[in-house]
Amino acid sequence: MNQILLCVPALLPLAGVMALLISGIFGSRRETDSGKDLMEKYLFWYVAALTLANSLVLWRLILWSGEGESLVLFRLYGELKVMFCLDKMGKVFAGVISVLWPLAVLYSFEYMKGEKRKYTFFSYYLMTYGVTAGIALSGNLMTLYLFYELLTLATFPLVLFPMTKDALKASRRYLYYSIGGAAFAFLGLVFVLTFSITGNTAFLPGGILDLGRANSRRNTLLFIYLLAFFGFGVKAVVFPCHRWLPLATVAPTPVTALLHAVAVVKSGAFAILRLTYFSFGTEFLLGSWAQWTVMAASMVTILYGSTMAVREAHWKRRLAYSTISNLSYILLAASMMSSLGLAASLCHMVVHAFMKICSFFCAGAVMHQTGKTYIYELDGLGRKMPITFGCLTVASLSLIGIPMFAGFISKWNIAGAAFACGMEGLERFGSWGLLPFGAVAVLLYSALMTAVYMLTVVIRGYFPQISRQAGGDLSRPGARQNTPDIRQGNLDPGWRMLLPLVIFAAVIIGVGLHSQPLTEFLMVIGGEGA
Amino acid sequence: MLVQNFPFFSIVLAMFSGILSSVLNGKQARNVSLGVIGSTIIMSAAVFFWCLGNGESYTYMMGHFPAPWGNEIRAGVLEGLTALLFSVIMLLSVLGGMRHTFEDVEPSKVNLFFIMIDLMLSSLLALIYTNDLFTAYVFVEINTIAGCGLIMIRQKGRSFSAAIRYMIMSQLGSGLFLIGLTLLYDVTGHLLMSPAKETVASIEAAGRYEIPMLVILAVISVGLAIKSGLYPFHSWIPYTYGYATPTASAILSGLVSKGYIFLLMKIFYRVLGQENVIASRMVNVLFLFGLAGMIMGSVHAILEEDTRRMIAYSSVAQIGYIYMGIGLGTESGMVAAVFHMFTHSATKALLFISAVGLYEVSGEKKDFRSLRGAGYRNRLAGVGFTVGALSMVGFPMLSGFISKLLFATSALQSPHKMMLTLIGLAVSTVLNAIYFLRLVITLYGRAEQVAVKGKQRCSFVFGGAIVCFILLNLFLGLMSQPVVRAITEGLEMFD
Repeated sequence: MNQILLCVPALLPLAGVMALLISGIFGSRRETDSGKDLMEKYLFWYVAALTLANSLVLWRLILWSGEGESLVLFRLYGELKVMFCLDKMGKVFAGVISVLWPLAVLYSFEYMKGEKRKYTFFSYYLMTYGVTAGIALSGNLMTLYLFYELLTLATFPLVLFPMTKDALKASRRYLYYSIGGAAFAFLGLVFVLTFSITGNTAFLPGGILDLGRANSRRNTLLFIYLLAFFGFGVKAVVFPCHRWLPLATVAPTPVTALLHAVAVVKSGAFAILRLTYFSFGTEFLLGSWAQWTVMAASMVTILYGSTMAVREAHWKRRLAYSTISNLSYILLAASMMSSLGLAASLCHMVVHAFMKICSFFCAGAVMHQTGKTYIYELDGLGRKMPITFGCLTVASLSLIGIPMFAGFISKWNIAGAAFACGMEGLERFGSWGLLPFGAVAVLLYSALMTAVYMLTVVIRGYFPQISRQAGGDLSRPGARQNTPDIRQGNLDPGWRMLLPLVIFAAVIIGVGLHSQPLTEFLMVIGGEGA
Repeated sequence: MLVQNFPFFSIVLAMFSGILSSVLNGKQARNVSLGVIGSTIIMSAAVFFWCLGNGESYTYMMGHFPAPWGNEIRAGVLEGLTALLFSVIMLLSVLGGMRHTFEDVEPSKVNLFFIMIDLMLSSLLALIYTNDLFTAYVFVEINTIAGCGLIMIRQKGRSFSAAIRYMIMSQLGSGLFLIGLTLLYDVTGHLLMSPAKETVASIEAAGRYEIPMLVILAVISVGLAIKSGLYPFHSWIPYTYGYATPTASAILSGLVSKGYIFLLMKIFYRVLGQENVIASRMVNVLFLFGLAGMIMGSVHAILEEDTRRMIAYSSVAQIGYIYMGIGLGTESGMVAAVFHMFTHSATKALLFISAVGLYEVSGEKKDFRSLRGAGYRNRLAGVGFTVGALSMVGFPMLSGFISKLLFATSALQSPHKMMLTLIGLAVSTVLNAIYFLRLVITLYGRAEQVAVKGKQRCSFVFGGAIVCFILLNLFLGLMSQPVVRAITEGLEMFD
């Protein structure tokens, strides 16, 4: 029973979407106003029920699935099987998305109220859930690669959704980058298959490379690892492959928040973790030039992302740059190639998901209520939207890494892993071991920048600058001329938007105050993985 | 056994139905063609399964004249499989482009179109089955003439100049091929493949005629490479595929170029000896040209605005893949090349046919931007095009992925060419993604109001053809293992 259940989270949403699309084709012919309202209600319950059911199945699997249970769906070619299997690391990712998705669906129903083509939007939103669950559940690199490609297909219509010129450009770039990245990741897949000790691509902690054969062609394999790293790194927005993300913020906010801050980018990071710790294995990579390159690339990305975020005046794009830098925290921790590093990177993966989706949802709430998208337009909104800005403050403080918030925990772990790696590296690899210490400095710089780019928003919200409010800001480029005057009184959005925000903020504080269960669980994974 | 006669039957049946069609009207000629292609499918399938079941190939003497004088046909697993797939794709291409055929071609000449189809089928089958070099040459010429006819019969716009281009380049290729054959005949004294191979082996063993053998190899390879459109000789491709009627484009790009490649492989294995070909380093030349084609074909496609020419340039890239596989010079590289031949036939025909469906609903303009929103107006064609594009990009579960996988894994076995192949594969995938997915996005972009003429709903036959093509692609992508096994077995039987 459990075995069969393993494929449900991936396939249920896909099946649901097929039904929805087919009914959409036939339903579009009888469009009346009252019928439309009815359809909308029905659509809400349909999507909500499917999402909830899927999350429940995921939790059932997380809590009660035995180790080593796996399900082979079909064979693509030879030993390349599409196989589902939920190990501890998969459980972490599955747990995160299963919590975030229902809340995000709730939020998007409020956000998308009044939009046309809801069918399309929610079809692909739901489909992405299935595909992301597939990534979490994939038991070998082939399955991961399959769902990674599917993820591109399922999410690009969501970027294209506004159908504007910008959206067209953004979705085009997103597709080119993602498919191109996958083409390089494919090489990694082929090499892992050829050099694996098991004859297939299944994930095993510590990697599956046949070290005897692999070491005879060490440099080739390291080069291929790098290619695959940057290939998967496209979705994880590593420096030279990051340019699609800021553009992709043209998508509706629920998409940017859930997909481009959590599902898509974290799938990239997850894939890299799988590639590093479960396919190539740390034993092969530790101390190699590939490790130092990867580490340096993620450090550069952190510096670049946090600096660019400060420069950016568009709120969502600023958050996108923040995502770029934060994703590289995960990769930086991963590049330590140690058990501490794996645990730290998973920790940041979980924590950052909550922080970033919370900040994006706040930005979305403001956009939805007032139509303001630039940071200099936010003057004084903090008093009019108290709950929204309260949650934003929590998320900001956590992103900076103030103690008592969740962000602190993960940053602490990353710094700890970097120190440990540096100490060991100095002994074993000479001057290269200095690089992890540089990572700590990068973390500090990035924390400072985070404080600047997040707190400016919050401060502007609470303490308006009178001179700007007096006038002139409307003439600035990009400012919306036609936004209605801010109505008096409370501007907070409806409960469907507020509830997710409050829950996220509560989780951030909760994890910040009591992180032990999480970190202990992650340390177990780390101990196994490296 | 009756089955052993089938290869001969199918060739002759197709040939004579062409003669018969000359006195029929268009509709009747169509029915005859469809019937012939249908029966070819059944016969090829019978041959394939018979050979697969018996695990052996056989030669079929024509008119009971024994080896050095008579003419021979040879059928094995690979021949049967290729004939089967080619005839299936032919049937689907004819069905998919049917309405356009009747629109593009003058009513009085429709039967001529189907005569060309019959001749094309017959010559393709002959190229696949023949065991005699001169027969191969004769059918190469028949194939060229049929191809020219197929292009020219759409007497509109630039199809004349396209046909002339095709004629000149093809004749150049045939001429080189003929010169190669003449030299080979001089050296070996045989035109039948099997005795010729024995003589070649003894010549090679004695170490004589080194330079003539190299010249023969080079001339035959280059001749057939020109005819199949390998990169530096590709200039005719965008014209012929871009301006012919859709069925003709699908058949020319999907099948005809593959027929020549198949012949080349057969000559490599059954006449010149694969090990001699590898030793002569000719494979390295093919490898480099193939690699250049993979990249340059895609670059040209990116720069192209006209949808059908874009798809045509993509053929240049895909032919490059096939030659790259041959050029790897390994058994597995050859398997990958053959598999990609099938992949490309199925996919490219699908792309050409579904592109037509999209044109119809967008005012028949050439520019790809005019297709904006066409995916909503003709859903099935849109899905078909998307599937084809994804397969070309190498999306898992579609046939293109398996090709890519086979190429990559076989590249690992030849260390000197490994990195070049892998990087070439990755880069060309990126380039493929750029022009194919650009088109897919355009298909599903917001539709401006386009004046649409003609029928809105696609016909049943067209829809059926698209669905079958998609299924064929999925079949090659998901159930590839038996196909690959059959190819491997078939290649072993070649020796």
